[in-house]
Order: sequence, then structure tokens, then C-alpha cells
Amino acid sequence: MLKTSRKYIFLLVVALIIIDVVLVTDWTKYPTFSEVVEQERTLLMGFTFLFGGLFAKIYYNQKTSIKGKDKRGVIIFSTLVLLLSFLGFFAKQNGFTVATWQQLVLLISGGVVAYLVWPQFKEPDITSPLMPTAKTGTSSGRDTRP
Amino acid sequence: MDAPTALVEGVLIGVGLSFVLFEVALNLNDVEGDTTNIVLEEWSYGKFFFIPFALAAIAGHLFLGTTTSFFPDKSIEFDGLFGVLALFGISGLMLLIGWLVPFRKTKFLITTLVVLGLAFGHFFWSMNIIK
Repeated sequence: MLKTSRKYIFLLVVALIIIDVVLVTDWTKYPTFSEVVEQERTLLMGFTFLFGGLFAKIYYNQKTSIKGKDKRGVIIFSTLVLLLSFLGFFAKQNGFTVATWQQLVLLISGGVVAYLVWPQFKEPDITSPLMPTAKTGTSSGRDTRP
Repeated sequence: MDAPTALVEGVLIGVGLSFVLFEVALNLNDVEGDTTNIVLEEWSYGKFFFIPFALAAIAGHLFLGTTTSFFPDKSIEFDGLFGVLALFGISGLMLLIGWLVPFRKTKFLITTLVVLGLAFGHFFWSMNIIK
């Protein structure tokens, strides 16, 4: 499954690049992915927030050994994305346009929120010396692995 | 909204949704460490350290963008083409370095690449240029 997921991610990225390159050429009447996002920036403010969050999930991902925290994080983050999507819809209807600095705030906010509320569940390593021992009930606090 | 735009939007949404479903399946399976974020992080800290720069450049291109071009005498098409070619060139160079020169990537380096990528997308690959 690990190999399949990596293959899928790679193929998806390559496919999207090829499609976008085709769209960029003048002879197609279809707008590129970038143009669609650029035209609908206000409507897609939820997507901006989501992008920032996904960035944090890749490079600033917190780990947790408590089951359920990651699922709770998904629900909280998804709710915020949904709320912002509705806000974007009403903002567009009322002629409001998101400024560039506001886009930056959305990106960073998405990253910060994902970092704080959306950890990744990881099975605790029972062989680690940092795990609480049966005798003391507390960990040594130092990694004494060779 | 015209039909071509609606079609491209539909493709974007379709790809996005199928990706989300795939990620949910990966999260629920018994294999650990196979979700996209972990795979991308692994690749970024390995040979493919161009990934944070490229992703951040795409973010800068899609969501930010200066209104003033670095090349005031050139056309808007030049700005768009320059951004793409420069990103390909820089990413290609970083890929080559990553492949030939193994070195330890720190969080500081990754963060620097993210910031530089965002700046690149904002200044050199902007869709907001006014001529």
C-alpha cells in the first residue's frame, strides 16, 4: 500500500502538470488551473486557508499517540474551511475582493491552525527508553539509545 | 460562468475530492506513514528538497502576486512564461544537487526554502501584474 500511495501521488502530480501545460497553450479556449483560482480568489478563500493548513501538515506536523485527536483535528479544520467557503461565497456576492495581504493572512492562519489542532496519530514506540517504566511510572527523560 | 471555465473548475473539484477520499482511505488503513503529507515530507528531507520551494512558489503564484513587474518593458505573457521557466530551472538544479550531493536537510533549511518559494511566486510569477 505504501508503494501504491507513492506511485499514485507521483502520477497525480505529473498528470496535473501535463493538463496545465496543455491548457496554457494558446490554441485551447479553456482557462488554466491558475486562471480559475485567480478569477475566483474571493470565493475560494477557504481553499487558501486549506492550502496553508496542508503545508503545515507536511512540514510542521505534530505527532500524537492519543487516538481520536487526529480525527478531532480533521473535523475542526474542515469546519473552518467550510465556514470560510461560505464567507467567500457571500463576500463575492457582495462585491468584496480579498486583497493580497489578506490572502497571506489566510495562508498563514491555515498553517497555524493546522499545526495547533490537527496532529498526526502515531503508534507509541514501546521499545523506546522514553516510555514510562513499570517501576517508576515515569520516563527517564533522556534518550539513552546507542 | 462560461462552459470552458466551468469544466476546468469541475476537473479541479473532481481531482480535489478524489484526492481527499484517497487520503481518508490511507488514514484508515493499517499501514502507517503512507499518507501524502508524510510521503512528501520524506521526499523533501531526502533527494527532492526542491519540493518545499516549488510548492511554496505555486502558493505564491496562486494566492499572492505583486502588481508591479520586474520587467516593465516586457509583456504580461513574458512574466507568466518567465515564472514557469525559472521555477523549472531552479527546481531542476535543486533536484540535481539533491541527487548528487547528499547532505542533511534541517527544519531551518526547509523553512527558508518555503519563504523563498513564496517570495518567488509573489514577485516573479504573479498573475496580478498591471501593465
